[in-house]
Amino acid sequence: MIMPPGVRKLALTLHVTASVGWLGAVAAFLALAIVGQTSRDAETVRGAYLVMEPAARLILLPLAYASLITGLLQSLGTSWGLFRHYWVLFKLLINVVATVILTSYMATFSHMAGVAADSNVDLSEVRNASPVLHATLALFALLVATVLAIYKPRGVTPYGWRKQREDSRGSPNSR
Amino acid sequence: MTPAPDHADDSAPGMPRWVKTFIGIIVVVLVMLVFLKIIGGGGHGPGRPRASADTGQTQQKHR
Repeated sequence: MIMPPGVRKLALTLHVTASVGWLGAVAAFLALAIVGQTSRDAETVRGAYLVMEPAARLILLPLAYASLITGLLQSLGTSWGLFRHYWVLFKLLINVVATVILTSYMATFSHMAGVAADSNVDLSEVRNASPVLHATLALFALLVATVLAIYKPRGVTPYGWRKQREDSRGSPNSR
Repeated sequence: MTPAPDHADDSAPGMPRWVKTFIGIIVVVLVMLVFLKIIGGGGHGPGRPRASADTGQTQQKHR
């Protein structure tokens, strides 16, 4: 079902806002993770890991799911489709994988916050390199997704090719 | 926003070079991550950073 132009523009606005917002939030998380790893101030280190869990729950997760849902709407509601073009397929793959990893990583955020809140735990145990690695990889993946969305490199999948053939044979003015 | 057709002839298009490059990069990154996981014993589940602090015995088990 192809969306009318007004709805399509609204869906695109929502998708870009959620996706770029997610990218910015991940960049902020990377900064937080680096502070947690490198700061010499104990309170700052503990604070960094304490704030990660609620920030991820209230910002990262909603933006990730919003990006995924609006992206699906955007693909299915336009002639781009979901499986017709390689760039759309790769964006979907990046989005799904990043969202699944983020969702499964929430338990780690909770755990790190619990460790940071315990004043009996040594600071070396509070520090954790995992958020730096995950945020770096996520930032890279989301940057790639953004580049794909802007450049839209050519290339149709075998499924997309068949659909194009069907469309051009069946109803040339269907788009 | 309407995509232009990528080709007009009857032959199915091959996979573009950028897609092959992309898949290659993904494979390399996955191999590196698996390698890191094997040598680091990493995972997404909780418990790793705290293990030694909780029991004081976990580190000895690894030795």
